Amino acid sequence: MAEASPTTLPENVAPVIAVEGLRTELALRDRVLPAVIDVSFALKRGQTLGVVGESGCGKSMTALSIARLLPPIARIAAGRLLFDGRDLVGLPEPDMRRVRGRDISMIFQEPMTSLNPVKTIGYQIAEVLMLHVGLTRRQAWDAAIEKLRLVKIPEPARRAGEYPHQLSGGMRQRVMIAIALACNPKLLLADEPTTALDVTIQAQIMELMAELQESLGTAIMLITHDLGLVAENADRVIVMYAGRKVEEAEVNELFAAPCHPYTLGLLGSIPELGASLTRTGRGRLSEIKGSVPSLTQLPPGCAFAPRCGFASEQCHRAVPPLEEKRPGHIAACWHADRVLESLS
Amino acid sequence: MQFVIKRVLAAIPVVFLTSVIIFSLMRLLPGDPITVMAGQSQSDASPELLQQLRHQYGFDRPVYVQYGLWVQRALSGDLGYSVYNRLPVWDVLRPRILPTAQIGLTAWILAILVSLPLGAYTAVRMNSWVDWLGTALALIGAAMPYFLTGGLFIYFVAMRGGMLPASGFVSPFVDFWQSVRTTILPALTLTFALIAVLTRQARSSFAETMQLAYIRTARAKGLGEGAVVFRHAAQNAILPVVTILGLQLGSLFSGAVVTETVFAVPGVGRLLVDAILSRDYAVVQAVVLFITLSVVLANLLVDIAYGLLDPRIKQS
Repeated sequence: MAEASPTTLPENVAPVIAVEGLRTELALRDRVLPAVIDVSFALKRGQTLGVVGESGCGKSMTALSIARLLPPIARIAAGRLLFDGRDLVGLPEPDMRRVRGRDISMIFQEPMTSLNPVKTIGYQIAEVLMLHVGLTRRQAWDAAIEKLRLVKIPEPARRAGEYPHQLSGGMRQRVMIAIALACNPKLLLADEPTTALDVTIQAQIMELMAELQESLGTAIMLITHDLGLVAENADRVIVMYAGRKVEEAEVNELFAAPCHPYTLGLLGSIPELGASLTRTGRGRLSEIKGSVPSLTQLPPGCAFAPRCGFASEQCHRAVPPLEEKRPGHIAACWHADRVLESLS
Repeated sequence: MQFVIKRVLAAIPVVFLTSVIIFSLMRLLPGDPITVMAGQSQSDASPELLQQLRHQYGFDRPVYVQYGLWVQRALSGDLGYSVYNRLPVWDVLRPRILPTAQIGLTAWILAILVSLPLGAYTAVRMNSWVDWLGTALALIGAAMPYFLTGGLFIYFVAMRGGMLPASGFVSPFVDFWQSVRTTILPALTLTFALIAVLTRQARSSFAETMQLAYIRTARAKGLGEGAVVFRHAAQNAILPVVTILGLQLGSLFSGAVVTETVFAVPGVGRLLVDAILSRDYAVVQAVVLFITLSVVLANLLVDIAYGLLDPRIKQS
């Protein structure tokens, strides 16, 4: 039995963002494919929500939907994005622009290409401050140097005048964080923020984000396929598969008692010191057989059924509903009991 | 500075090879300046006299000796003597530079002013009617030879419309407005094809840039589409276009050969045609040398501009 994760926030605090029944679709030439299907979650101030899943499971699309930065072929087809009491879906673009970069910021996976190569990093930080805070060029530059100091870049005054190619990957990601947090946003969407970095740099970046989160109270949606990162940094976790949320729980609870076979499979495929969760003998890592079904041919029942060792005839026929399997722990599986049993 | 010296040194083999090629090609053409002059004077000059003239100008010596002598003189600033015009080559070439430069630069600047915004617009608004129109115009522009474009301009604008002079050139130091009027049609003719090439390049370059991660970052900052395109995409997207701009200077000269003939402009291009027809070796060599040096210089300027636009270049 897992201990409840230490949440210092009172239960009655209104969420920063409440996503309700989000459905995002890709419009292809001849058909419409769902990329995000009926996803709901809420995130409170100062909280970190880990969103995990294989590539193509819809986690990035969920983040891009919240920021309303979807590529032209994608659109939000249904659902609500309640942010600060407003529904972001249907918010006129000029109003949305005032939200982006000020209240909701994003950090992307590619620190090498996410910064403009021909602008100084000082300018790229100052730009947000001029836009949203209304600082003059001079003030914004000084503030940008302060932000660089905040993300622990040495010699910030000199670095501000440098270009992205003069910085290492870790440094660039710090600059991205400085840009994202420049206006003290309420919500930070971090899409694989450390995937492209060295392990040691990863730890530094995550530590930095945690520190800044503590001082600013930012809610963070941490999108990653790295369960280790989630275990160390998230308060709650959502597991996504083929566009759907298949499991959600507090982080310790999820790791201790996964109710969905997919989560179980994910946990089994991380190398761990000590005992392995799924005993595949001789300490060999287990893998999830097969691959994520293509969006073009989602099965009628549970999307994970074709790869699932617990699957029964029912799984192939009907999509399992999200149900509370344990206190505060929801999952979408017909056979959650058997999954839990398999752990003991 | 070191960079400039390196580039200048790299230009030497280019100039050398061009001069060897043009020297040999001219000598491969049947006839020489003496034959052409004798033919035009309609007089029955004796073969002995022609031979004597050839000897006087050194045309009877082996080609490599002639080349050696030409290089030696050219290096000391003496481009030789125009047999056909009976004037030093430099005196023939000098007055021809202004019309070509004025028309060429006008065409070049017009092309930049039109194609960069048009390319950016069509890239952002892909498949809009402006995009289709731009694509159609670019195809027509690339397909139309200069003599056809020029001919149509002369017929419709100059003859039927009577709006602008059909031929000739007036120096801006003599009569500024008349100079502008004589520049417009040849410059438009030249710029049409250039706009076609540059717009396509700008469009694909902008379209590619708009897909990049830092454009998404710029949008995530809450910037409007205008700021995204002009502040973040433009400086990156024009880099490949700048390269093309330098390369296209060469085609501006080849275009000048045709347009100056069509519009009877006394420029370098026209001089080249006349000099080739009259086998005026020294003039042909001088003009080709002039064009080569101009193109080399333009590309040097392009590289310097590139360094100013792209901070990644300055370092290396």
